[in-house]
Amino acid sequence: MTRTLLRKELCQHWLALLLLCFLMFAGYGLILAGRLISGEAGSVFESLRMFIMVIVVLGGLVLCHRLVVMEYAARTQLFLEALPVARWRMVAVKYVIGLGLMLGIVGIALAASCAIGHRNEILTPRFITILAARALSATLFAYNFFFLMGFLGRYRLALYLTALLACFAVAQLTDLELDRFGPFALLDERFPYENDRVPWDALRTTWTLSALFLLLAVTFSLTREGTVATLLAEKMSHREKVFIAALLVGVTFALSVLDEKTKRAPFELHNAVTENRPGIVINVASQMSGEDTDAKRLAQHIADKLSSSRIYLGLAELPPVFITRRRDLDANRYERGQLEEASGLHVQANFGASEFDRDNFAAWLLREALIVQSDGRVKYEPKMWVLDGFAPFYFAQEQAAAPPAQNRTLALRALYGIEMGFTPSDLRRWHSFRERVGEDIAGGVAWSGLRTIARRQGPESCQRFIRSVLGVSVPKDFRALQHERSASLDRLLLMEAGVEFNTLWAQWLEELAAARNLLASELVRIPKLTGEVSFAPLSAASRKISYHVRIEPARGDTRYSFLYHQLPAFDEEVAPQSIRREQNLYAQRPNGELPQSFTRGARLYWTFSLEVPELRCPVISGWKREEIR
Amino acid sequence: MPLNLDPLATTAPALSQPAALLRTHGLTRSFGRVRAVEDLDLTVHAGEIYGFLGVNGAGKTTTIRMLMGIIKPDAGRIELLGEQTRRTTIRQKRSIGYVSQEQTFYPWMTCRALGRFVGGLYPTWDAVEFERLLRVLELPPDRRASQLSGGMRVKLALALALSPRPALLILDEPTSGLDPVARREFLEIIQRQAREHHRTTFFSSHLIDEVERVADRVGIIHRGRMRYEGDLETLQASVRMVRIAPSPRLQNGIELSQTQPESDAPSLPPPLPSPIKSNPEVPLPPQFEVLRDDTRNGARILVLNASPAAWDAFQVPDAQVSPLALEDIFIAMVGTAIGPL
Repeated sequence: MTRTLLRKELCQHWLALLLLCFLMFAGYGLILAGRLISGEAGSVFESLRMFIMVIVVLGGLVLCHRLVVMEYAARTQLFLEALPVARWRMVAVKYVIGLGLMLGIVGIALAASCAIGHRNEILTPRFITILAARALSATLFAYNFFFLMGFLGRYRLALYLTALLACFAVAQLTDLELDRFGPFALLDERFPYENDRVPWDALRTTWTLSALFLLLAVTFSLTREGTVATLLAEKMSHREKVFIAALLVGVTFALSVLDEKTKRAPFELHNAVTENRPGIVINVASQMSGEDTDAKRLAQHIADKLSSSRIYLGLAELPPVFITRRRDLDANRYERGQLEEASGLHVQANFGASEFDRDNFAAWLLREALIVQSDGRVKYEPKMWVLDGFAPFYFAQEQAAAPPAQNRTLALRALYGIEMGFTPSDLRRWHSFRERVGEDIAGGVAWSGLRTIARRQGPESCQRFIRSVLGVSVPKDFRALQHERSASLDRLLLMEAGVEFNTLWAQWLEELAAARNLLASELVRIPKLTGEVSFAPLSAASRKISYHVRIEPARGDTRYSFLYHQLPAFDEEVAPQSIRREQNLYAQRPNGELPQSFTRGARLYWTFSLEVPELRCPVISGWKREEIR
Repeated sequence: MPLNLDPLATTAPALSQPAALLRTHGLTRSFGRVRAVEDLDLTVHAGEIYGFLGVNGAGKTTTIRMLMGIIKPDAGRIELLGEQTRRTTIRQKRSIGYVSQEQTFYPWMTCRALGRFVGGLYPTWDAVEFERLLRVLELPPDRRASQLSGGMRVKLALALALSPRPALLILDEPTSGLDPVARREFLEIIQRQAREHHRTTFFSSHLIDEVERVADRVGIIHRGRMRYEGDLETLQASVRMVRIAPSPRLQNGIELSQTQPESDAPSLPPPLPSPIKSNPEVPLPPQFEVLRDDTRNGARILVLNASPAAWDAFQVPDAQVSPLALEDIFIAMVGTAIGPL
């Protein structure tokens, strides 16, 4: 009986299933090839993640439409019911065929990913098990969801929209992070890298939800002799269409109103000096007694800088800024504070210190303000260099028409950066480039790019281009994804700056070459750092870490730092305040040993750093992630 | 004795009758507040064609869906091939051939492919017989179901129902939507099957003439309850129309003192009497049951139900007794305004 049903399903859908398999594998191939060509292929499993998130979800939707919706819409299940076939068996055959196919496709894609990635990745059985558990569980969840929706007949489209709206509402109106929840957490950014920790919580949630969806699907298909599913499969009446459309419009409207109302109140900083400009509010914490001239001057300076930047970018406003004093910080180090219950940007700086550089601080603050204002969208990696280059570019724009060498410091930073190796793909993998050369040097490189556009295409073209990247307000939902897809860097360059990327790249290199000719003698004097770490066993499970640095050319009073941080199980952006530092005089101690011991198998994030007065910033040997062996 | 129209008191089959192939006991099914079938008892004997009559919405399809195990009765039991169950099992369904009211075949399947598919579900499937039926019924084997006419679809359903050589064939208003030629052809096939293969057939319809043509016994269902079960001759002998001539002494009703049959009175007046009007002045013997009562042109028109023996002893002055056609009997029994019998 089962075989007969199975044969019937395969006869009915063989062409569609074949086509679906082909399209899904083709989609996987395209994602893989696209990432390789664009140079985004950090891990081959990132392509697998994209494949599951997009292709498998669409595949599940199509498959369940074929298997369930078509059967009930054509009422052919009534024919089956008249035959000696149990209703549950009919449903089970459909479920098993669809699920088997989906899991099979994902399994093959996983195997292909492992085959492709085994040369570059360490594929332990545990890693593969975790990958398989994540991929297959997410697939199970998606399939069960669409299988259930299939039985909801004419209401399924409305429910898809409702689900999207619900996700949107959760993301916008609550502090819940969907990507940390169940099936979404399985496909988060840790997917390609998590090789140690089995995400049991997410797996349990996913399995529970999948079981619930299946139970509901079975209930709908079998309750009252299947009449519920049969009735739901009937076409929607005009009255229902109008009602559902009105309901969805109403809910959307209500959500937008709620979104407005739930905006958090600005942070309140007591005893603060406040400076207001149109669209700008700067609060600087002042001393408890007496007039705080430092705070007042800083507030005015920052307000002026941010105000002119806001106008340049065409933004209506920037988030309110709250600056508090931290005397334990170095004068050139600034930190973000956390505002859990209020909106705005809270930063900490030692602005009373004699070496405190207000321009440098304003440049850093502008970058942070733009990140907050855009909800992080401006950190989208392929365009992030514009963010890094904007503040130094804008604050030095009075000299925009002059050759780069006139802004010696920034030009030296840019030249130093490209000597570490700089290719077009570094623009698309800007995070990696920043880790390789350091934030300030990367900022210098980015500055030189914007400056090239301004010099070659004109300041207005450059402004239009920068506005299109940093000055556009995009809602923080699926529309942001669509925006980034439709507004690629190449397209924006062409549309706004009137230059193709390849042309710009050639011009950029020409500008840098010209600058190098002018600054070559200074550039060779700037030291370069290299170094390594070694692990000495203390016991079977613990290691002592020692390091060795080389600085060329070295100076007698060179003081370098060894910066390190023990990484958690998965890769994510490392907060600056979590990085530890060991400082030594190079002439006396080119080697060092960390005081604490480390667990074998843990991962160390490390670099050597050196303050270079000519650059007015530190240079680094390049951040490295290394397993403690 | 009047003919018993109470399904609870349906008489047991005579000893000479063949064994019951299908029997239901107190079958009941509701949809929400609506009682579609209530306490239904019916018996189908082996080898007979059973006509299941009822107006639209009487409960025929619900009964058949319960017999097919598609829906479950709220109460009652089904006895099929000697096995009594609450709900027809898959194993029992394999011995039933079923033609539903509406043929929802897979449109992409050809006639032959449908035979292969359905055949896989019946262990007794006779592929040779199916091919023969396709030929006999003039069904193109390689034509898709979506390209078949209404008549051809019913024939295909019949071929699919007959090919497993079922012990019982259940047809749910199979001829509705067919033109008269196709309907006659279909009925002839049913009769031939019953005659040549002694196929027990349970056949629901709201068309009296086709039941009259093919059925050995009938069951009349109304508002979910069985009104009559038995053969057609007994039914026609039991239900008759009585016309009572108008009397000059008539006051406040009818006084039945003279018998004055009207020679020109039609044996079957075209318009039936309207539903019963309670009239205590009609002095009917107690074994007569009034199905309809009306006054027309001063004459009293009654449809009465009684046993043939009671009719033999019927002595009412001025009364003219006429037989009724099956259709008139059916309408008299299931008329919408008829109260509980």
